[in-house]
Amino acid sequence: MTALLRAELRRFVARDVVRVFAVAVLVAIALGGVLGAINSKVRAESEQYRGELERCLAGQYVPADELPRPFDTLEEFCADAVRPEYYGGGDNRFQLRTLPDVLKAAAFLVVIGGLLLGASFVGAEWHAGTMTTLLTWEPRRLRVLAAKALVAAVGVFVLMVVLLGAFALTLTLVAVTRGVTDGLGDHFWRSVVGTLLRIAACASAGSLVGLGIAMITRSTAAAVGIGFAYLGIVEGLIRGLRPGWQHFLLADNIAVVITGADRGIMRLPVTLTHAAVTVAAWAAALLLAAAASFRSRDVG
Amino acid sequence: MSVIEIEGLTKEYSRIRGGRTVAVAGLDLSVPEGGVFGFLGPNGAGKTTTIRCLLGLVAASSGRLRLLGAEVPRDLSAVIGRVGSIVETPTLFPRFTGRRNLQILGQIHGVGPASVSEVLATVGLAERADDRVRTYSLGMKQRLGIAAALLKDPSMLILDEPANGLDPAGIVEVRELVRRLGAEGRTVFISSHILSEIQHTADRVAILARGRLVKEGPVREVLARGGAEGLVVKVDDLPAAARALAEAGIAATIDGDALLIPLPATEGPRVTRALADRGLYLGELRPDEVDLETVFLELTRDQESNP
Repeated sequence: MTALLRAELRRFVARDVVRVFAVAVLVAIALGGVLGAINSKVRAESEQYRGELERCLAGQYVPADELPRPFDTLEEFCADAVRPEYYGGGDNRFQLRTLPDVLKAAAFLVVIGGLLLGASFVGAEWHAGTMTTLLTWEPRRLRVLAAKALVAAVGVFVLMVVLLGAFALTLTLVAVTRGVTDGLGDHFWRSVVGTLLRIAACASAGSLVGLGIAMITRSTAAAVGIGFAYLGIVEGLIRGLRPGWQHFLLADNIAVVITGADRGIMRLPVTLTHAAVTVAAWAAALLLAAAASFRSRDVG
Repeated sequence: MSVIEIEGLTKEYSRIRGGRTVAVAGLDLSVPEGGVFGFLGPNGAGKTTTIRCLLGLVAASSGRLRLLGAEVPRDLSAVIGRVGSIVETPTLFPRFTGRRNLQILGQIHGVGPASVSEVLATVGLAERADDRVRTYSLGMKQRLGIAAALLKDPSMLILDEPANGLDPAGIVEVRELVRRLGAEGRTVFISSHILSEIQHTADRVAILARGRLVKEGPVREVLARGGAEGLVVKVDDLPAAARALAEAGIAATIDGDALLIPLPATEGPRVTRALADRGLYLGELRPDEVDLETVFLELTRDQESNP
């Protein structure tokens, strides 16, 4: 099993799609860092901003006696409704304290990346016909599947930790050199690391979901198509038609894991443990279905 | 000892629109250890399905298979390290180099880089070993497949059409390689549609048609068309030679530019003497052997007309 794992790991690392993905993401991070650094600055307030603020304070937006909640004074309301950044001015410096939120915003792409890498890891093998060759070297199919699943899960997790780490480091550099590093709080870095690990874990689960579907369909394209159709359409319909089932939907539970808590994602809140277990159960169920399919169907 | 034992192998496939297709129908086959065993049959005869069943890629509908004494598929993993194989066109990762493909496969059974270089040299791919497989010609992919099959230093090779896509020089190389492997004491189970290659390399053959075994045995026996033997004699004056042989009590018939004599090759001296005694001298005397292609076509045609 160890030799098989080593062989699969070597193949995972040598795959063009993994290398291209990693390089493309690193280039995007570098570009994003440069653009972020360029835009991270305090701009002068524009004439238009000052004009709009005056109009607001004159009660032309809302009369002083009809202020919406939670505003008590017209000044408070106008400070919120008319901001300098809306008119090309104000403090646009990158705030390091927002780093966890930035990572969470990127999480969707990371999880989809994990799904694609997992699906293509076995889909490419079926497409090229190399599964036949592999099985003439290791005929124990469950071992083959277990090795592939383990390598995909660990490989995607490590890859995403590295890429997200590079992203976080880049943004930290932007904040240190041209942004704001105040107000981080005592547990800031723990929060960053926790967010990063949870996103990578979800990407790892996504890779197992992609791998499982690709093992059943024997095609990367079919696996990705089914994955997107399910997450985008089927779960959307379930969410609308059967709200009670939301607790068991993959996308919603992934969202809870990524955010670290259920912040209004579910109609009836769930715990982080519930969400993590549900995501793991999805991955396990698809792997079991893949194992049954792989074991019983002819190859070639 | 038999290295391959197949008893009553049947493989059926369900058709999409109902019904079943029988790919292999109750095949019994035994392949002795050592030497080259040719496995012949027209397209769709069930050769590749049989090989896939032997390698555990396809589940038999019924029947029993044993490979190197191990039950297939249950105990296949115990002997797979001693079996090298090619199934149809070898499939390796097109974006990896030939060397990396073999290194990844070799790693599964602890085969080191030195062995990879060695087998690449054996099949004449040393110079292209570090090119991506997708840039290889069909013949080069076939060579790489043979290299992969040899990588485990197997005691048994199962080669499904190994000469597919090879140029004439490549075919000769594969023929010599197969002969050499057989002579080394390995068992080479080879299916091919190039019958002349099998005729010149195999010790025994089995001919399959419509999923059934129609002939099996040593190549010479199969070529003798069920035991019928004869001699072909060429002389200048065929009618005079026929009369001279008749006078010596030897039956002969004129067939084109030669005489056909229904005697075994051991009777050659008697025929020579009978003709020489009457002043007739031989232009040619040889056993009346047909080639494998003729036997193959006859046997498989019979099977087609009597399904």
